Amino acid sequence: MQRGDFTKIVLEHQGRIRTFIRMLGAAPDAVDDLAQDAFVIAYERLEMLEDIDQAGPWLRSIARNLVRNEARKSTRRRRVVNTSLTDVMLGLADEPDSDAWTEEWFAALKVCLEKLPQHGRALVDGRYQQGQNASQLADQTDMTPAAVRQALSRFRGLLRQCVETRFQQAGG
Amino acid sequence: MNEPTFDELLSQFLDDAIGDEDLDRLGKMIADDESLRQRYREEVQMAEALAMIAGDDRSAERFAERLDQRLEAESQKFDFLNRVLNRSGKLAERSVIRRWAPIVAGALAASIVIAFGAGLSTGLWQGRHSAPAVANAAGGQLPEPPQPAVIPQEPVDDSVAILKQVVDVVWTGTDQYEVGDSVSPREIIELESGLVQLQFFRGATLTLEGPARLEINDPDQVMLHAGQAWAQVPVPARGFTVLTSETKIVDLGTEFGVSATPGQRTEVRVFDGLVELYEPASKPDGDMLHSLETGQAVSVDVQGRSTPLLDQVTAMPSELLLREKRSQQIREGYRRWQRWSEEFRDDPRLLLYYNFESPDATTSTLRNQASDTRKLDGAVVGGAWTQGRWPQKGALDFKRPSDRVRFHVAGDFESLTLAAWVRVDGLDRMLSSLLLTDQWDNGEVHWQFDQLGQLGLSVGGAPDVKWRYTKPLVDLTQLGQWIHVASVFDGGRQTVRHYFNGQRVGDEESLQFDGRLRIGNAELGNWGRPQWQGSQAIRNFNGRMDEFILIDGALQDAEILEIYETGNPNR
Repeated sequence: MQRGDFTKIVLEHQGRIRTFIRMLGAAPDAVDDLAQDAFVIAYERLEMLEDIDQAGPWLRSIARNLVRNEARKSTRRRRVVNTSLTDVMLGLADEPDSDAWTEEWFAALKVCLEKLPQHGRALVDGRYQQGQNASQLADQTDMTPAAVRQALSRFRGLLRQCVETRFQQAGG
Repeated sequence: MNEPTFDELLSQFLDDAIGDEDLDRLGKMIADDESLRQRYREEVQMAEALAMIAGDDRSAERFAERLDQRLEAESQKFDFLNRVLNRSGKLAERSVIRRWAPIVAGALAASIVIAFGAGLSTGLWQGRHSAPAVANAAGGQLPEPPQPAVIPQEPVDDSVAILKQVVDVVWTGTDQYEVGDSVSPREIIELESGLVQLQFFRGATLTLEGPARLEINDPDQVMLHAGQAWAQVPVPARGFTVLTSETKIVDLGTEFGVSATPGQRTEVRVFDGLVELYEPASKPDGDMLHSLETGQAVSVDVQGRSTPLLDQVTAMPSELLLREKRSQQIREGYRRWQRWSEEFRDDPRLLLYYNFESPDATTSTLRNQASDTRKLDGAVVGGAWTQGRWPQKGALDFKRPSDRVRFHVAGDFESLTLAAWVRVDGLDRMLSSLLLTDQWDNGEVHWQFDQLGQLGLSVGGAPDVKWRYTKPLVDLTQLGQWIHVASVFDGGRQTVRHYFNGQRVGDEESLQFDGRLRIGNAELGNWGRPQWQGSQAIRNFNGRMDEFILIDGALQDAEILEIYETGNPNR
């Protein structure tokens, strides 16, 4: 693999790898640092990647090892939230790359976001744009934190259905 | 009490509000049920996707920008290894090292910006920033750039004047200016009171007294909507024009004053030389209405009728007024800072306090004001003692690669705050040192500007060296101005905060280093004995420094703001 391919790999996989690391149980504020570590290792070993189409599984294996090493560290130093959750996720077989993270997927997500009801959009903005948690959002509404979390979960579900529907309609 | 359901646990996990016991439960549920695992994946994926397109800090551009910086920092480590291997003759390891051909500056971030600018992820929410390309590359280049090369645009400066003096101003417009700020056509300067002096690049000087509203039209013309102004126009600036709603005043190399009262009249007084008055809308070759010589004055009403004014004025009042007021401002500002400085040096958290108040211009010792012992004094090597923020105040001018202040700080610290008043005269090097420890060992702090004017802080030995840079703080228009910069490594929170002129810049960013910070042998304005070449080993600062503070602890926003406000020379 040529060094010139590295940017392409980062472009295509940074979102997937960051999400994968979060799924493995990394602490939210450590996800991007661990993903950085993974890409640094990938850059260092780029010659080992023979087929660019295999970049996804290869990056995930690097990420797995990084998270596994994190889980072995002492509580104070590690960047995973809970070793038992991480152990479960590390124990699962690898999966193919999902449809998500493509340009079309993001475009569909944006359209779907625009269609959210006003209340839903306000909650989504508060949580993901302003970084407020459910307790903070609850303070601004007449909801309980649990109700905010439930509502956010419902809106994420609506967005997922909407994106899938648009994909099917587009034959994608 | 009922046990929480999977949905409750998952939503708590995604809200970062879940305890260890519940995480164990969640892990067990996922392990036992494929359908729950699928739900978990889908929910995490959607939550992460939303965070990446909504939050600046998680955007693809920001991620690429940080990765750029990381790769550059890693390449520095490998430069060092290369040198060691060269010396030790271990040629076999070279192939590993060669893989660290440093990535071209900002290539990654720039490519991401291009790709994502095309609609991949950004633009959903307003107010996003584009990741600036990182200027820390170690000089190499990827052999095959995967994207079209991004050629940085040559900087363009359309400004026509700078603010030479600002005295006791209360601003009323949307823009507030400071001494040294440049102004461009279409900008409006509006003040309720006080004095502002503009120096036009063509040579004219215009002093404005509030209440006033002045619009910049072009390099040779302004529109005075209201207020009083005095113009000094040397020969090279002949033709400088002040428009009001009643008249157009063309200066032919002289000094004159103009007072515009909207809807009533414009008064023009010539103190020296010659001015010509025209219809406000007249073309350059239009008919002249009046020619005024030294000592003459005229009032023009809204109908364009002119009446001679009998008061004979032979000197411009503004210069004297400005000088007096400015002198008073300087005296008061310097005294205010002196009082604060006297108190501040007793702050028990202070490790170093260099105020650069040199007893004479030949001294080679920089006294640490925070201690009676001389252990923490700095050794001034090269550099030139010069004027600081105020004419009475000392500063050190760093210019040559040899100029530096060396010092030693023993001990280790959980948190550190670094703050300095500096005047950046140029960003000549890829990296310009503010404070660099001699080595880059575990816990050692590096604080510097990069060539884009971004302020960066990092700690040696942090897992996988992580720099934390601001957006560009210093650009062409700010060179030569006194600015205050501060950075905090908060060990308790394992974060870095940066400040520019008293204000927080960007977000508080995580920098995971849970060891102790150290300084040891270090330098201001340079880098002593770098261990490896080819990693921007020449990092001398080009500019002046007239105050440096090193504090054992993490100062909060209000404390940084106080340091800036008491030391602001333009107040």
